[in-house]
Amino acid sequence: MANVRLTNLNKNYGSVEVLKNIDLEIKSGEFCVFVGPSGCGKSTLLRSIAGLEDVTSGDVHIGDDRVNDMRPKDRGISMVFQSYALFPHKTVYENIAYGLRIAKVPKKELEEKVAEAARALKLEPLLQRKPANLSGGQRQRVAIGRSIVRNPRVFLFDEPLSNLDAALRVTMRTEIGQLHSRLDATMIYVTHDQVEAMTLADKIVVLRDGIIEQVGTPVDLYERPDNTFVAQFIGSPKMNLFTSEDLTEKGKKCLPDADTLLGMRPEHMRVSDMKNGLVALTPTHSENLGEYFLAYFESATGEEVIAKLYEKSVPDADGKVYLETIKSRLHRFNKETGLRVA
Amino acid sequence: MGPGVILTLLFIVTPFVLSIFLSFTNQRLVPNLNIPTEFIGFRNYERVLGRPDFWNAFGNTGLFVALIVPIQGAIALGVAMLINSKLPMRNLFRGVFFIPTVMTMVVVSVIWAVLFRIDGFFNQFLDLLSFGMLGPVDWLTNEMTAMGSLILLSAWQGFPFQMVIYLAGLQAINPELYEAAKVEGSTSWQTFRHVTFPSLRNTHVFIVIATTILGFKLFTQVNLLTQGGPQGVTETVVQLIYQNGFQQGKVGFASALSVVFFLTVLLISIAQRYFLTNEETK
Repeated sequence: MANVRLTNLNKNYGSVEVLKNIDLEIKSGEFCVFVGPSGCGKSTLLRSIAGLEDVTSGDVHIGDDRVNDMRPKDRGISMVFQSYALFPHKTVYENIAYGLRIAKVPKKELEEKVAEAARALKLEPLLQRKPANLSGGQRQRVAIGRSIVRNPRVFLFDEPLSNLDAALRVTMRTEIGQLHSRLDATMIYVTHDQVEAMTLADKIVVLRDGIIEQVGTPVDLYERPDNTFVAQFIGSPKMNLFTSEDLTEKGKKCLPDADTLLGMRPEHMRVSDMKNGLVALTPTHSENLGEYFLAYFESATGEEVIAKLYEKSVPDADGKVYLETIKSRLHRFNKETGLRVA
Repeated sequence: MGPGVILTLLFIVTPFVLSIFLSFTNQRLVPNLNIPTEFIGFRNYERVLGRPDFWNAFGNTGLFVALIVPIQGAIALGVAMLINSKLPMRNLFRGVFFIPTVMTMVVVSVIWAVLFRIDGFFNQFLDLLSFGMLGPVDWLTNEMTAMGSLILLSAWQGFPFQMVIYLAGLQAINPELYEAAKVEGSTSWQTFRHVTFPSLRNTHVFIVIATTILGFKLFTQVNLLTQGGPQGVTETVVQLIYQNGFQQGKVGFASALSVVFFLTVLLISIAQRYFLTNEETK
């Protein structure tokens, strides 16, 4: 178990800057999730920690060691890959034991470690099978088994659940969460799925275009996003942003000036009336999901607005639907910079 | 019937059936009115199996195959790995390495005949390496070196074909396997042994069977460079078929040779396929 410290990290492919001045500290035992849209550099950042990518400048520290020039195997890390990367011609047992064999771990110790991992991951009946004869979830568990037997200081996961179907993803997500609490290990996890990020993470790092947009706990990111990108990236459906033209007289009072955007999450909006509503919207259509409606509107400036409503909205006499939310759920951002205002 | 069926029947099935038919006759290349063609039962087959030169040629061909398959395969895999790595100008090398296979065997044989000469490259090289202590060797007429020389030149001419297939196989390997091996601490050799080589299993099966079949067909270089000599050490079955069928005009006998040979190659290929693919499903 160790902390991970990235200092002024840069990575270029030719003239393309993939990571720009990354500074990040991941505490020992923390579950840290890198999240962001594809191409944001999250995988490259993980691979730089693993040693599968060289960094252009800056330092990577794992524990007290500067690991920039260390080979992956000497960094004390283990990694679970998106494709699981199991050796197809080896049995489950041999796959899990691979790293230990390479490291010439004594036979007895090796057998104990593999048996322990197999027991923890419920792989005991499968040890003599080849990966081709396993289900996706079982393969994933073998990949995790291979990474835990080596007692790494840091576990790295590169989109480990993206090849699984939705139901299995939920199960495996829970298992990874349990694994973290059982091992109390430092884990770094890359995903583009914000539900994985929200449910697993102690700390989420949101990346965009090679830059860290915000670092914080899931609740922080949800309740106090630093900027419009994070505000709209975390939460589904995404946060609605209104300019002062979209707002009613009452709504305008929530803004300090006309250069500010007002943000409201779909799940915090409720139907109001002409007098109390903050925004006046033209309804377009709605989807009934049983538990709630996803109501779609068009704002005065022509933007699509989505609200998660528990009752069907009925337009007022002027054909508009008026929505409001409680004050503490309002977000304000500067229109130019996108940064949070107070 | 589609055109494919017609063409297959016309150019593959018919000649083959015809050769089986001919193998039971005393058909000659140029009809001799004094010896009419007639059905002679299994007499050709009895002669084939009873002749020491058949067994000699059969043994030589077997030896050639047994050596060319691993040698050529190893060269092909090595070069394929080389040009699959991030070398500068690797596309150029991919093209250059393919040249020997594009050349016809006749041209290759002529070039290598020059290299094998008493004052040729190999003897000068040997002379240089041994400080004049060894050689010169007459590579193609020395019983000890003739077969080896043929194997070397055949491997050189043939390896690019296997190389291209290996290259395709290498490119189909999931790159994350290499990264996993790296994270687990594999050395280059361990990565080759545990990732590259076993991941190419299906490619190996194809290469072994294809090279075996090609190897059994050894003829052009023997016919051009040694004519089966010295002392029959490079005599091959196809060379024997050629000598009997075309030089001596004994088409019936040559057909029987071909049929025996075909069945042998077929059996070996089936056996290889059975053993090599069965291993995989274990």
